Amino acid sequence: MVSDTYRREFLKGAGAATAVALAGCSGESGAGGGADGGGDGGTETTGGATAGGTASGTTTITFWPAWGGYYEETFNEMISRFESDHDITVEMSPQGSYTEAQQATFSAAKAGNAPDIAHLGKNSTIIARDTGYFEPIGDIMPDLDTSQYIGPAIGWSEVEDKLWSLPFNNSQILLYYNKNHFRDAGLDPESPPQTFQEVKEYSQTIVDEGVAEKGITWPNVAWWTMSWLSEQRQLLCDKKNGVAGEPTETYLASDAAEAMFDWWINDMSDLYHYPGKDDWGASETAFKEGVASMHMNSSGGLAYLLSGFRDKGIDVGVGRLPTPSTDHGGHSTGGAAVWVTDKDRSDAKQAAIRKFLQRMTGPELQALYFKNTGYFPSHKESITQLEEEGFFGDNPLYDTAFDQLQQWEQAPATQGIFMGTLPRTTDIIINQTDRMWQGKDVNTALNDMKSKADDLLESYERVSY
Amino acid sequence: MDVYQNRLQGAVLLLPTVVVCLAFFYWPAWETIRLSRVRTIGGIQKIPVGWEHFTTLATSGAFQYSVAMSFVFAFIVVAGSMLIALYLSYLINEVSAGQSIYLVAAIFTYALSFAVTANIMDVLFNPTVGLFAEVLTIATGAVGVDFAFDYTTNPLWAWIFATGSTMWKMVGYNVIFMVAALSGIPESINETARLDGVGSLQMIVRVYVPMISPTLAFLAIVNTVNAFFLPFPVVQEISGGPSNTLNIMIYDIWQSYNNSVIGLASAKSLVLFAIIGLLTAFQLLLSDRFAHYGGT
Repeated sequence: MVSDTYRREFLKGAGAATAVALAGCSGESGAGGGADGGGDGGTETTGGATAGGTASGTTTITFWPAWGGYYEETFNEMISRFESDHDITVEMSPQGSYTEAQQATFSAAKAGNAPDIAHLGKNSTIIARDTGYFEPIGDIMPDLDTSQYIGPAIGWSEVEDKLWSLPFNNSQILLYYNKNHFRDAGLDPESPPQTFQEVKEYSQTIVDEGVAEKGITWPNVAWWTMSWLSEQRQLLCDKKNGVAGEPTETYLASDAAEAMFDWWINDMSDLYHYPGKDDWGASETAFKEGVASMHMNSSGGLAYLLSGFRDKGIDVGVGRLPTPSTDHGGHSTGGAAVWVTDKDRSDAKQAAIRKFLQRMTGPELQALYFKNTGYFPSHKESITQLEEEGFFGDNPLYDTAFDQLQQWEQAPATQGIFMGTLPRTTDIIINQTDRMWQGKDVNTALNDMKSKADDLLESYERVSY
Repeated sequence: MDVYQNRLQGAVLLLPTVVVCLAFFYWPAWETIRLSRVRTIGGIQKIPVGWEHFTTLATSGAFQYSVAMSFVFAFIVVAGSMLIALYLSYLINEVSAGQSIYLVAAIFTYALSFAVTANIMDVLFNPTVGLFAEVLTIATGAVGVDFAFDYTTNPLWAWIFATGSTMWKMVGYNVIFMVAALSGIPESINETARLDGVGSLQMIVRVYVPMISPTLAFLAIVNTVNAFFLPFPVVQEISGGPSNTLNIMIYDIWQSYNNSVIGLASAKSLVLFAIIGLLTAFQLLLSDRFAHYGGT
């Protein structure tokens, strides 16, 4: 017979299930705890880099770069050059991505073991400022001359006339194209398309000639929206993109936004390979595999992208970010900045931090970082150095990237976007773009985008300093 | 009669459990409730907002979607995995040779973690690099259908991918319990039914299901609770699917947490907590009425 043990087992089991449920709940949201199993969001306190001693007279400072991997070697090189000139040890603990770096730094700061120097994506500017975990660079280095940094780099660091961070790595969107495909399609491999209209024409030719399935591909990432708005001199939100105060409204349903989305979704619908949302890898693979003949990606990947594409036998060319017209307002700079956490430190340590920051954002190491990665240097002097070395002559593809940088114009639209909700706003942009690719009307989607983003702004409250 | 020699011994033996419960359950739970009533920026700045987060959530269309989709997701994976498991268990119970091989083949997914499951599935079916995705495209191409299992751009495929992966993972657990329960059914009942000429389907529906109903009721509860939490890695693997179509509560909470909106994330997790609590109570009540435990 089916016995009473079943009932006991059953009740025991149900009890366990409830416990699992409860544990799941609290684990997910408990104070500063990591996201639960499987998520990669909760890698706080990676590495035990919290030494702070001055044991043998050496000062130790901690630095958490946003990523290692391909970039780790360069970070090591930069740090060892710095260390060889000073009696300072830098303990580095690379994180996995901008999101993880933010998450890890905030969690560690909350638990009281933050690194001395954090490396945060530029989109996190306001949220980092508002946490109260950081000390403005302007207070740490009051005599720092910010005019030594180039405009597109320093832009993101100053909010409401206060210098919060220092630009470390800076990027822009570039067009990578397959010269073999261009030749096969009868296009001039030395003149990539510069405007939306040209991208469409080139893509049409490529598809018509049967060279590739699609003309072009790039990931659905909000940076494109940000860049194409700034190129059209369109602000993304009021209060001069938030640099002058807390914004209350976004301009995601503006004519400029409509122009770019209408081209992307409607004009390019059959010529563009859609790789899905937020998927850099899928877009890169599509270009590598010859599905599309052109691909847009960050200049920060210049070094490894070029070698990856060449390994695949692609004769790769680099062009500027194509824009709605030849009138360029300037791109929206990507990349990340270095921040100093707010802690009680010895004078020796504080001095070590100042030295480290100056060196890392200084001419020599910024030039090195540019060469090894493609992230353009923050320091004006680096550019002179590179020119004197003849680096651009030897590396014409880096030169293209640089020409685009030179066309940058100082204006509120190009100096950064200062919304505390920016990481979430970019999610909204990405998801609504996704909806457009599923068939949602561009105008409706843009209006939804704007109203959702505006609702978010309303829920945010900027901290006043 | 007394299990312990004296009260002190009992207290000392219980202490570790009490400490663990306090540290890892009651304290975080209390913290969650506290955090749900503040607005947080990063973590240091806390502005008390009372019940504002809950009223925001009550009127938020996005959150309502998220709650509704959590139920839809849970229903699909619980019903799906239990039906598949029931049929597999029946077959395993029937087969005479190589039973243990079939059993292992059916339950090995239980040994995988959900994170690994998510990874394996994405590697196999990824529209860009997936092996099975390619095979599917070739196979459908051979019969003249232009098909791509592209769950990165098509919401329907994203749902099929996520629920399918979750079911694949959950079936193993269900089979373990069901096979055990089926093997507990006396042979005489099998024999009687067979002599009466009862077919396979009839056998499952009319004989086996009622006989193992306590097990099924238990599984229904455990599966439902799990279905609200465990699919997280699968959904996260595909970033919530195209246009966040798979924005189930657990993923939504994680995203809020990731965006450092801790207060709102805490409020959301309390809502999830309440839903799971009510659901479990409801199912216990219901199963008490319908599950057959034998005896009187």
